[in-house]
Amino acid sequence: MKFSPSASLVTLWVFLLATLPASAASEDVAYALIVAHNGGLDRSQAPLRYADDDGARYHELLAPRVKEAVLLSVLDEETQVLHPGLAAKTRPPTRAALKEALTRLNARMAEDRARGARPVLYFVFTGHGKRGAAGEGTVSLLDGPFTRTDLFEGVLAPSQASFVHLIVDACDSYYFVHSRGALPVGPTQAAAVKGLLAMRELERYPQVGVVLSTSTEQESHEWSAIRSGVFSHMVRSALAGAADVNADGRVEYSELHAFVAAASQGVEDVRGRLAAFVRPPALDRSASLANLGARAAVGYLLMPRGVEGRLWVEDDRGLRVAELHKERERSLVLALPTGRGYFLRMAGREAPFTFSRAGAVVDGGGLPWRETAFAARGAVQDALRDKLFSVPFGSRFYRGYVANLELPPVAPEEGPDLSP
Amino acid sequence: MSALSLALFLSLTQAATAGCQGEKVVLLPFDTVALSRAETRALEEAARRAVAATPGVCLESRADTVERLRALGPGALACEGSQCLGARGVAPGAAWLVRGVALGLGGGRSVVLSLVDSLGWESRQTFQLPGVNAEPGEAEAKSRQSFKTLWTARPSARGAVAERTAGVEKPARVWPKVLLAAGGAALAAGVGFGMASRRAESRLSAGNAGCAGDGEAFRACLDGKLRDGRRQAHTANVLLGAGALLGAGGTFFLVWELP
Repeated sequence: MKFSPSASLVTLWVFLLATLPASAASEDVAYALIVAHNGGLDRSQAPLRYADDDGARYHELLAPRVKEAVLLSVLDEETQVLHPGLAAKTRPPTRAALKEALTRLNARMAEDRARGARPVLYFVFTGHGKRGAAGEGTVSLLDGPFTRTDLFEGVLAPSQASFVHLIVDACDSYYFVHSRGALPVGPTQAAAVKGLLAMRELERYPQVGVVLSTSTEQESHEWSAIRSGVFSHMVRSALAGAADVNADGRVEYSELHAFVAAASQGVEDVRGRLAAFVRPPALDRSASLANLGARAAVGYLLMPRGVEGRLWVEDDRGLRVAELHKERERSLVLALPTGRGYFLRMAGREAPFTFSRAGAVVDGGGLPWRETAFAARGAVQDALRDKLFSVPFGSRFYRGYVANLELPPVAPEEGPDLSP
Repeated sequence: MSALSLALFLSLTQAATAGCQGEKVVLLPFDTVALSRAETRALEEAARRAVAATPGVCLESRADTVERLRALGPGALACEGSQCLGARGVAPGAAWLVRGVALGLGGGRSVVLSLVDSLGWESRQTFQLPGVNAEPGEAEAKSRQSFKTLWTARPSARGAVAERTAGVEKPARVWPKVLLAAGGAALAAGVGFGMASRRAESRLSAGNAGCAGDGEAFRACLDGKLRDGRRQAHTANVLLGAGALLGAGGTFFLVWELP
């Protein structure tokens, strides 16, 4: 049968007309599955202190933005005090609990798909990781190791999600997702990571985007001043909105990558230095990890033009929930959970604020500032305190950084409308 | 500040727009986060109508504002507070500057408005609009309400200038007066000592200057009177010189600090 070019064009137009309205009307429905475990894979790995805290804080960050957030973790005593009521909602990080949670979420996502919605899954792991003798990455669950094969066969293959955002903060987490090519050695892994992009497993899942910590030193992972893993702290700050370099309200993979790079740029001590591997879903390389424009049960802190420098938001529990080094030329918004008091802080000064309700906007340009003081100690602590977020993050840094990556850059910020 | 520059400032800030009786206000194009350019422009236009409708406001046209901003370049909008109203700012000569940020967050829309004057006073207001099903004119109504709050809360331009001028110049104007008073006192004391010295000289020239006796005692008495007269003359000269210097200094600073 012959098929003329005009007929194929008509078919294409019909196809476009039929699909465009459907895709334009499709609604994103997000879910979060967070696995956090302090314990190690064997006796050589000392237990982590803040992996469970990170899990709880990812849950706090994502729960107001998603339809359902599941936390698999055994929270320690301190963490349970800081997050009252959360322990009752958690399940232990075992293979059985993980499988059960995935089955339930996949059923819900299948329903979403059936009614034309676009389900999105955040799969987050914080804890110990290790590279096995064969080079296969493994992360630690309560009842044993969870291998890369388990990840692909148990999580990614059966997933009903249109997009999966895979965030892993663990030692050797790179090997949890990747397997082929020369094995990177030491903390300078960028070249090796680049060479491994063509690995087979991940290419079979074009809907999966990955954000991995590729640091190998345990000491670089946790910082007591923030009761958190440093990489996870940066990722959460980025997702809160600090990485939104073009002020379009969306945080894309390239923005998160550049944000993490800028935040750890100043750390000269190798123990505190961080490296990240970020790859957006091949299906949509401009997919967003966070969208501040979407309806969510959060409050919004506006930091307008003129506000600049290293800033962080601490809540009334003393937990640092977001941090950034702002350029004065751009406005920026942080989306934060409601229901508690906050302090916007910079060196020597703080300004208290609260959100009266979900959706409320607090104008950071009008906050009452007062003098304050804070302290930290230890060599790595000092390096982290002084050097993390020491480089301003804005369009200048972003453009320079992304030019060297194989990531599509975001559209430049439009700025005020100067048309007549 | 000279009378000429004061007159120039007043002429620029008062009724710069022809035919408009009020204070010149410049509204800058809105900044935006997570909102399309068209929606931002609609919110800005609503705010512009609200500001223009406020009694006592002479709002510069958007065309004029935008033309100047284009000439200044994109970096000009990064100015802060009263700097923006300076001669090289984005709103030179304006009495008030209005800035806004339009936000499209959480499925809704919000606007943060700020009002700034040339002396550094600033106040801010935030209002929110539903993302969907917003009533026609709701943005303008909320803009009007927010701007009214800002406008009524502002220190009156003249009152604020007078208040701040008094506040700043009060300690500075004390010194000329102190110098003048000290100079006057020194001059008066110098005249007093001078007259006393002249009296002593007259007495010594005219006779025994009140000394009695003879011989060594008489000479000693005359020497004492002579020394007293010289000391008085010396003191008078010092006081007159100091008084002249203090008076000149006081007069100089008094003239210097005249508005």
